Amino acid sequence: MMLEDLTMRQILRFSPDSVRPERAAVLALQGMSGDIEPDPRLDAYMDKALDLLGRLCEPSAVYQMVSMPEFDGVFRGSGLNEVRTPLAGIYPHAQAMALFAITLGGPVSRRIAELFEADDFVLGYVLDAAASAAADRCAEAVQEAFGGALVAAGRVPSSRRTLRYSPGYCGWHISAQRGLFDLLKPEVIGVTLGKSLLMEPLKSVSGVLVCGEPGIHEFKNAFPFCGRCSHRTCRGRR
Amino acid sequence: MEILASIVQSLEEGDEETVSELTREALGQGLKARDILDKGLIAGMNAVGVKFREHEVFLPDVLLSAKAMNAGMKHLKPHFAKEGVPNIGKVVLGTVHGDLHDIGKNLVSIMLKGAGFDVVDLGKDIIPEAFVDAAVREEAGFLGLSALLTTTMPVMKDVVDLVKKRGLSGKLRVIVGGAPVSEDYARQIGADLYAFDAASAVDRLKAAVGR
Repeated sequence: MMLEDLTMRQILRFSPDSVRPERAAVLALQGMSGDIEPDPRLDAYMDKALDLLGRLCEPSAVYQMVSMPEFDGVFRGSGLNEVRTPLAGIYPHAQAMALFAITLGGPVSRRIAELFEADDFVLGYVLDAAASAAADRCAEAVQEAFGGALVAAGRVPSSRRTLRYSPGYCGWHISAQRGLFDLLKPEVIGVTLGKSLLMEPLKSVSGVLVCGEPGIHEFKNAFPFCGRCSHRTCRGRR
Repeated sequence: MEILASIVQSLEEGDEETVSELTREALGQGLKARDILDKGLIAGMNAVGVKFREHEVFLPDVLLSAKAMNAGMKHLKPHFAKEGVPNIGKVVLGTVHGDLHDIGKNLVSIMLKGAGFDVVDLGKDIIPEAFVDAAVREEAGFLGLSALLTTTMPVMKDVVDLVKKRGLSGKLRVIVGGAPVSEDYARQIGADLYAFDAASAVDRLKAAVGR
């Protein structure tokens, strides 16, 4: 990685429309995928939830490039990673890396809690799923922005692929959040880290963006923890 | 009782309006509130629970039915005003200290209520003392602990240890669940029960009270 890249830091604000999730993505988070036709009443809840999401979410993101030695430290965290992890085999081959955080802001999470408290739990549940799907879209948007910026700056060819990895998944222990927050300082977009390493607002995502040859992201999902994992999309991301 | 069968069917369909109407009608016909609850609303939720487990319906469908149950309960509650709503067991529930995720815990609460349990939901970020104090105060038979983070799972052990320390083992049984929690972990910390999801929480607790 070139030294002049190391100061690259961007704060991004997205429009709610740009992170509006596909209905299929929201349904999938509720366990309904493929050709399952939801009850028409759930369609009405979906419309209402997407409307609320559009009015309440304040999507923003920050990313900052990191050097290999810096990321080595973040990755190690408190030394609690699994012995073998996919990311340990991926990031040493990166041509560029950036730490990132995204958030949908506090109002959406507060509204979800209020809906459950008011026993309007169908809408609360659908809004929660919609917000999770929107947070994923926001993370995807920052991933595309970083990859695009690298190509635009002529730092990598357009054939390179950027993908995101987050502490707490795939054997990367969540204790890495401390180092990640120390370097990235995502408080600038309103994301804070609690003692239990929980981010607030809840609808936030953090991690590392890894750019390199597409092949570096390939791995067999046969790690010991893969069997316990309920995420089925680790290798299917765009 | 034809009307009770209709309540069961409407509840399975998550038809809030019809369940409300039929419950009122059933009371008007002189049926006992307890029977309407047991043989109508709870029977309907049980049927929905079976369909959910068999993947015939999805969680949002279960929630529509739970909403319909609430609509019926509004008519029944005044009839239980003196002795309280009859229940098959009392559960104090919450997300452990340090964890602010509560959707899973909320779903457990909704489904337990649907199955006829009395649920006291303490909310999220609950310290061990508050869990145990509430369980004693409420004379609950079960304490339900939820965690979504590996970093907050150890708090579950703190609660289990406190239950033992206060000599409540056996009287107050602890059930744990949440994405990172496993049956092995539950056993390891000395929890009495483990639930993989909201539906299995209902099954485990019903089995524990002999239903």
